[in-house]
Amino acid sequence: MTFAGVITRIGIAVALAVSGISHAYLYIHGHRHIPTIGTAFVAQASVSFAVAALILVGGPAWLRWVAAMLAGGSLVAFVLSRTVGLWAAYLAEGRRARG
Amino acid sequence: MTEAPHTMSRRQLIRHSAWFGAAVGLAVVGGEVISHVAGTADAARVQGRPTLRFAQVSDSHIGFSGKANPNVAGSFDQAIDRINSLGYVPDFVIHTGDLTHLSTPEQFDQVKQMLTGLRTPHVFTVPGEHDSVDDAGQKYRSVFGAGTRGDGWYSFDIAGVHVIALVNTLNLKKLGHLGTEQLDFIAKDVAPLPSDTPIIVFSHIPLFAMYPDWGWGTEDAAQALSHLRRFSSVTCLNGHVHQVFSKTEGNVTFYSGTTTAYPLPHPGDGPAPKPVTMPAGKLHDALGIREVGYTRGQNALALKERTLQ
Repeated sequence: MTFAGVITRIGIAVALAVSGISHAYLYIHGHRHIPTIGTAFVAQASVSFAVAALILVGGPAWLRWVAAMLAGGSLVAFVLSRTVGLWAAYLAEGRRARG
Repeated sequence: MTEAPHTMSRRQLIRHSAWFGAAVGLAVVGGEVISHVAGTADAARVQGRPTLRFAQVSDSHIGFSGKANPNVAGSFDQAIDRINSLGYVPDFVIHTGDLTHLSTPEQFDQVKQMLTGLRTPHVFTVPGEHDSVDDAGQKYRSVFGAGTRGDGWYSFDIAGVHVIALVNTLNLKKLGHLGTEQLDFIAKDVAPLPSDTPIIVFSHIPLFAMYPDWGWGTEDAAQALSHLRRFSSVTCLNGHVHQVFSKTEGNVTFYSGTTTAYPLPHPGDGPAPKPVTMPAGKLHDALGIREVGYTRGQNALALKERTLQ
């Protein structure tokens, strides 16, 4: 494994872990009470941690695709939640938090 | 014929399956850990929170006008704001009497309207002697008496606590008076309860002899309290005296609450309990509300007095 390869692995793993931590934090501090959204948050966090760990220990290339899909999916979900709304309740929650 | 370049060997398939299995397994374990942490955070919050939280407000004397407080409606509004800004929704609010100053229909209407501004699921009241000046409490009961018994007394259970609201302001001579019908009610009401049930009693006039010369006591309170002796935790909250005071007699603790209208002198301070005019800017220090919390397993209730300042 090249030096650049190791750095890339570590970079992806750290980014995924940070994304997982922020979702887990939000889940623990209230988001778990929102139907569907709560489950999505805990799923995002746990899959992020698992994929981050496996990429770090030298998992196959398709794990990186999983990581990319996770990151892209989370980003799309975030944009939707702040615009058209991902289930009415979550949009309302976002408005309350901003208000 | 050679093997297609993208065909996966058996060994590769096993390896990828192992990675996939590890990913699924780790994700499940991670999810469990996060849920567990969330559950522990919840349990800690529930443990720190009292089982029952309510607020007491008293002696609003809506309709009073005098130097001691030219705007009793304004200070009662402030008391309502104070309760609404406690940072949580109290399980109920109790008004321990003298809602009005002269029991007129307009005063009852005004105080009832004002009480609807409280953010709480339930508002309970007991009458003061000012709420029954000319009709033995009929107007009071027509406004606030729904669901009560006799002359307006009642009881209810909430969060494992038994609450009794008494009327000791009718048939007054000098001291508060409960009467045989109400004493019977108390005896029957508590008879089926196990002795470890926490009891909270509301009344307008104190159920202890705070200052009998001014009528600050209830003549037949001893009989009422005799039915409550076997309980491990009894707390009596009252109004009437317009000042904070507490006293413990055996298993019973009495707490007099303050007012939202005007202060009265300390017991024996002067010839009679007449409204005290405070120096400018000091009135709201003497007025206030009370927060009460009960935590399961603890005999004593936690009280916090809050001024309107």
